[in-house]
Amino acid sequence: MLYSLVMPWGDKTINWKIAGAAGLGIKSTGEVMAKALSRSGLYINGYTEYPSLIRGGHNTYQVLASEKQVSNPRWNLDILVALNEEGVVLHEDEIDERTKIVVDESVKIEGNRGRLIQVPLLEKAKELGNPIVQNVIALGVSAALIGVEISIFEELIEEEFGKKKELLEINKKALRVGWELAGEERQVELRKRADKPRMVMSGSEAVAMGAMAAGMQLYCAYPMTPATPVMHFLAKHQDKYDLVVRQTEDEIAAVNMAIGASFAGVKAMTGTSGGGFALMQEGISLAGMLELPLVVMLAMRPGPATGLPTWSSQTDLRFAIHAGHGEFAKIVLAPGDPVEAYELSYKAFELAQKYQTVVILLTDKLLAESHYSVELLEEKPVVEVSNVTDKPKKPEEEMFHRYQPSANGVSERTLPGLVNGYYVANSDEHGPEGLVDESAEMREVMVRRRLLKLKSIESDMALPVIYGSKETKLSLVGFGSVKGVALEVIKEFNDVNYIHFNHVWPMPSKAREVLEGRKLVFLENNMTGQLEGLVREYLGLGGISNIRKDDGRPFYVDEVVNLVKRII
Amino acid sequence: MKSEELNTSVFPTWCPGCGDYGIWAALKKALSKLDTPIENVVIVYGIGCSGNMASFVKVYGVHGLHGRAIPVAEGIKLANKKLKVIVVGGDGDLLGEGVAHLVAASRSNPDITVILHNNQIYGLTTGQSSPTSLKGSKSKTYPMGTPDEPLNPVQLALTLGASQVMRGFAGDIEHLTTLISDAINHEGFSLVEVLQPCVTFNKINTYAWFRERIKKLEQPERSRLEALRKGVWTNQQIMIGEFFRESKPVLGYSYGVLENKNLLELKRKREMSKLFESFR
Repeated sequence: MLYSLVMPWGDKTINWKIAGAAGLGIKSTGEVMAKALSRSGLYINGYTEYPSLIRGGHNTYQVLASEKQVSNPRWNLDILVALNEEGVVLHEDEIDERTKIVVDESVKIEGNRGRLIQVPLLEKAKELGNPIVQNVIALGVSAALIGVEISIFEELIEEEFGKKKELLEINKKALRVGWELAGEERQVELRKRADKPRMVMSGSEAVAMGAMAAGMQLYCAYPMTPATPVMHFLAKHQDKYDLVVRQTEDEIAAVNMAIGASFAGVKAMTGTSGGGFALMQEGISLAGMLELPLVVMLAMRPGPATGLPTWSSQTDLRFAIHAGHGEFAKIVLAPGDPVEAYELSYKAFELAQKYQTVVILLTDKLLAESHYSVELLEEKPVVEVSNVTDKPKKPEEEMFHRYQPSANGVSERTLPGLVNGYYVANSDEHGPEGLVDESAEMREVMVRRRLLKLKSIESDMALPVIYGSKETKLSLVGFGSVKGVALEVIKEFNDVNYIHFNHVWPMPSKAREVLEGRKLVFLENNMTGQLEGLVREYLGLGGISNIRKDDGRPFYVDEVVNLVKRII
Repeated sequence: MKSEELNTSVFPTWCPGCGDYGIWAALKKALSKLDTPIENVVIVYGIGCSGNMASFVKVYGVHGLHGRAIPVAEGIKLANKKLKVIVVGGDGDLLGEGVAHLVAASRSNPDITVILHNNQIYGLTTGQSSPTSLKGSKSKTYPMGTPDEPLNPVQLALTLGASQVMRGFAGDIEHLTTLISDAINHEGFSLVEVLQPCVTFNKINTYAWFRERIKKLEQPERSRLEALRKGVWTNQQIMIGEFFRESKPVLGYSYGVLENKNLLELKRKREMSKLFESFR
């Protein structure tokens, strides 16, 4: 077994990357590697980079695998599989003298630091009758270099091409060819299949399954990277899991359609990224006014405008919190890994029903499209459509007082179809039955009612969690996907811990007790310190420093470690 | 049921003589004659003078956003196919701000009825040009005359494959009632354009102006092409009535889970374990 990268704390880790032109199956090959290493009993983290085009650009997929939990990509590579010259040149920085570089023999590489393993990938692929299988040959070489039983890879290829006999055969052959090509580089000791491997899951799949577990019935959306994988997953499973996926003409239609379905009693969700979320603002405000349950996933990518469509950032936290014009209660949850994504996606439906308002599930490209090892997800009961009455109390001739003032701002609604339950869900300011009312008195009652919810919601907002030892010199603070890098970073220090926010709005005032008296360093994938600002504004606490970045790339463990060292 | 039973405690706030009264009366009349129980009717309103009807009709209602009533209505119908869902909106609403949704719905054929109040002006914002204002007609925003060609909603919907397309006149309540009843009963997307004089801000397209030009279609045309020809406005003649109808699958038909079921009732626990296992 190859473990060239042994961490200071003794973890045995392997960092593998495949790079090449778009259209060569980089991502699918990478996913097979992630799954294979997982099936051999390792924890994995799979991370993909690709430009916003379909063919010809430079794509990569990298897998970090370890005997201990890994949650974020690392920089230095043990093995680089390059399907073209660019595959090496563009990753010079990630290579050191120990890095094994698998590349076609026709590619001329000069003055490279790594250890070149030049093999006839393309020639062998052509011999097999399909140049595209050079990626699978490379996979075979990789399997031999890392030291994982080839049968694990064969099994995965069978799962992929099971029904397509011809493709299956050629791919299995390609795998063997690669295995042989490794020659003397092949490891002697091989990892076998683990009895019960962990799940390999992306944040998107976890979000989708959280919604499915909650009993979501309708998902309507307009495609936008990096939100679309959720839609793809749901569409694929819709028949078996009693739900409908509707692709709408735009994001405005998507959010309004979800609101309509919610009015009729269906649990509905929509999802998008920054630009689409901008188009949804008025709809989000509408859900706040009509007081209807609505779940919106906002998968962040770097803006402004089209920005970097296929890259990651955390630049829309403030945007989510301030979504929709006017003042009303809304909730923002920001999961940091697939388990949290599953749990919070489910919880989003609970809270939307409980408080009859909008819940925004804030993810980003890193979480949405990376693969993680997941031990366990729990089965859950379907979330009930709550605060609904089928016995409206009212005089016969009047309409139902759906917006009756109540102690916590939430009151029962009726669903259309119920005799004598009539009311208007009115975007204009309204009285209890939803009929227009512009009086100052009624306005005050209704404004209070809509904001009253914020207080009650606070009790459902979990406090930030401390990872690592409780008492340390320094605490990193972050939200959402930076959890991944933070958990890796704190492993390298004895006196640094990480405080993770995943319930970001309304910010629970008791979070102050968790943060108080610590030296805080805010770690955020944005340039304006959006979480830092919120903590200052709502908890009255500041940090001693911050680590910020918005170049589209995730934080790498190594770079954060160096910065933390400097701060200490 | 009598149509007065559909009144709320709020009396309409439209100008005296407004075409909206005629549409309101026709809609209530059509609803009162409906076979469907009234609690199964939902009206989704846009924003504008027409949308203000939200507070004047005692049925389930959603008074949504400017231009966005159609997707809300689609969502309601997808959720519960037992409901009769009607959209009430204006020309600015459905042809300006929200025209994308009219285009999409004409193509996807949700089983909803859209009543388009066409007064050729923005009334609630006191008289700006609308997508149906006649070219050259003067307004507060175009004192020199509207520069754009007017949009013809009947022809637009016909071109896009709408399954039922009609035009009525707010000054002929009886005829309009029949159209609206038919549209609600039609299985599929129905557009009912209603010529609606705005007595305050549109001094050209008055009741008298329309009466001089309106002619009734005897029956729907057999082909879309012929219906398109009949849908044209000329200076001499504007046809009202049902232009075209066809029967085709409604939105939702292609979803396996909706085949014999209602989305609203799909509430059983989802067995997730098997799916989880597929990730190992």
